[in-house]
This record gives sequence, structure tokens and C-alpha cells, in this order.
Amino acid sequence: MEMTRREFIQSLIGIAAAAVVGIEWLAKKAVPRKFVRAGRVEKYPGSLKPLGDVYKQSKWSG
Amino acid sequence: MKVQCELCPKECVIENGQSGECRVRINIDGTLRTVVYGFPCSVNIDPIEKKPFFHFLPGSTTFSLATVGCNLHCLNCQNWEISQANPEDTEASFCPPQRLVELTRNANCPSLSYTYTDPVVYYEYTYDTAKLANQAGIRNTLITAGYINPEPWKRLLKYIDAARIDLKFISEDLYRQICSATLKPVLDTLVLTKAGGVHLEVINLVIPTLNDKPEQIRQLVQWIKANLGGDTPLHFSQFYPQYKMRHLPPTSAETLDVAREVALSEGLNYVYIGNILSDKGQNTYCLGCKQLLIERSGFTVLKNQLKDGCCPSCNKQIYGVWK
Repeated sequence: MEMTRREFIQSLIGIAAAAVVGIEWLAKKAVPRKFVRAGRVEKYPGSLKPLGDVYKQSKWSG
Repeated sequence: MKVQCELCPKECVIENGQSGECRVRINIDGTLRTVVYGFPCSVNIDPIEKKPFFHFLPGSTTFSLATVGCNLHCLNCQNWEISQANPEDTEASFCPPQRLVELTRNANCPSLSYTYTDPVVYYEYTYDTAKLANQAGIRNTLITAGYINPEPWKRLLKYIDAARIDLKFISEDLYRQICSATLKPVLDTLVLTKAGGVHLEVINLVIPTLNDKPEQIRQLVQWIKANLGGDTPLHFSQFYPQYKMRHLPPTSAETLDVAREVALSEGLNYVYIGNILSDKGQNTYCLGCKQLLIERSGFTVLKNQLKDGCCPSCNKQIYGVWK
């Protein structure tokens, strides 16, 4: 079946659009999103403890 | 999707579900999250001299906190049990910024210190707390290795009154080998801090065979004098075998005395010795008339003769924040 000029141009546009979407998707995957400030999480991943006696000098250096 | 954390010079690229080198900044579904915001693993009231700050509110107490994690991995870390630990394995308390400020006020502490590990890795928690504390008239101090990118550092400095920064070595190679970090960003942080008008004190841990030669000390001191000024207090601290560096002996008192003499001879005005009891190395003397101004023993101020930040005998002004 022969393709009309209109059909040929439409398929060309379709292929080009798919290529753009694909390249963008790949680029997003490859280039990391950049952050300075991090968002919070609600839950601490370790276990929680009461605050304790804050008036006691710390055992840690500094 | 990967994320890149641009807080510190490591600029970790982090896969989904993984953390950066600091262990506490995590990629959750393409967004960078901190898992330690509001969850300190240590909250205590310390003497300000313990940080050490010798020219900032001497004799006062400071409300001190840390979360788990660090962006450096120093082989000699004294606090490795929390700095090199995973949050999953470390207990913490829930204490949001507002609560920290309330506790500080209730305890009558004039300052809050972000310390023990490194406030760089709990940046957002530090920033929000410092902002609130600043509004409440409480001073903020950072105790840090200074390994942070310039932009976030400058943003944080707006709320900071004093910083005690480690200058561990004056050698790129040693920073890489011992701390898995680099020297240049630390030097930049020091310069930015001074330029930002924040009170600055510098500490150098003197480690036998690594950075204890008088020539190495001289090089470090000359950089401080040229870039931060001769009034910047410098603390030489005694190394003690720790963590992955247990094969080296503690620094001798003689080595620390030599380091102090070198620094004084190069034109630094306030040079101290820490982690070890020292006669002259703990006290502050007047630059003009050499009178003993602040006498200390360990973290205790025995006598403070300063009058409005000046020597009572010759009236010379002493660098620092005294009230």
C-alpha cells in the first residue's frame, strides 16, 4: 500500500516526538536531581529514647 | 531516579533508597531527605570551654546537641561511635527546634552548640533551630570540620555567633588519607567565616608522626596568620589513640609546648593547649602588659579579670565575645 505525503509526514512527526520523549526520559534517569536542602521524614529509622538528663555533661568530645 | 546532594564538597550522587557518605541524607523516591531532623542522639549541657571556646562567653554553659552521622571519616575520630554509625543502629530522642530553644531558655544557657558529630550533616535541623534561637536572643555556635559548600555555609552563618572549626592538616594528602576529605574547602570555610564577622576559633589535633613536626606547625600557623589574622585563637589538642588509629602514641606535652611556641613566634596572639593539663597553655594573657587575664583549669574558669573585654591594667582590648 502506498503512503501519501501527508501520512509520511505524520509518521515522521510521530517518530520524532517519540524520540524526544524517550531522550528526555533517559536524560532524567541519567542526570540526578540536585538538592542542597533535604526534606524531613516523620519517622526516625532507629529506636527512640527519652531525652534523659540534659544537665549532665556529655561524654562526647566537643 | 538518582539525586545529588550539593550540601558538602563530596556532592554524593545517591541511588533511590540509599544514603550519601554521611549516612543520614537519603534518596527517597527521587527526593533528598534527612532522617535526623529533630532526632538528636545526644543533648547535654557543657561548659563552653569544652568545645573549646576560650574567647566566647567564658565560664558559661552551652546547650549542646548532635545527631548521628558525619561527612568525614577520620581514622582518629574521638566520637566515632556516633559519627560513624547508622541512624538505624543509634538511639535518638525526639526534640524539634522549638523544644530545643525552650530547653535552652529553661536551663539559662546563653548559647546553643551544634557539636559532637558535625552540624553540616544535620544542616536543616541546625538552620531552623539557629534561626529560632537567634530570634529568642540565644547565641548559636558551630563546632565543625568546616567541610561544606560555600552557599549553604553563607546562608547558615546569618544566624551563627561563633564557630570552632578544625584545621586538621595543612596538607591535601593527609586530608585525603586520614579524613577522606580535601583541604581547600576547609580553608574556604575558614575564610568565609572570618569574612562573615562570626567569632572564630581554630583547633588542630597534633598527631604524632603525621602533623607534629615544627615545620608543619609553622606552615599551618602562617596560613592562619595570613588569612584569618593573628588574633584568631588557636587550640592545639592532644591526640589520643582512638578508633582506627590505635597504633600511635598520645601526643606528648613537650610536642604541644613546642607547637605553641612555634605559633606564638609566628605571631599568633592566643595559642592554647587542650586535652591535657598545661600551665600556661590554658590561660589567656594580655598582649600588651602580659598580665594573666583568664585563668583556667581544664574546662573550669578559675579567674576572669577582663573588664568589658579589656585588660584591667593596660586597657588593651582582647579579641572575643565577652558578654
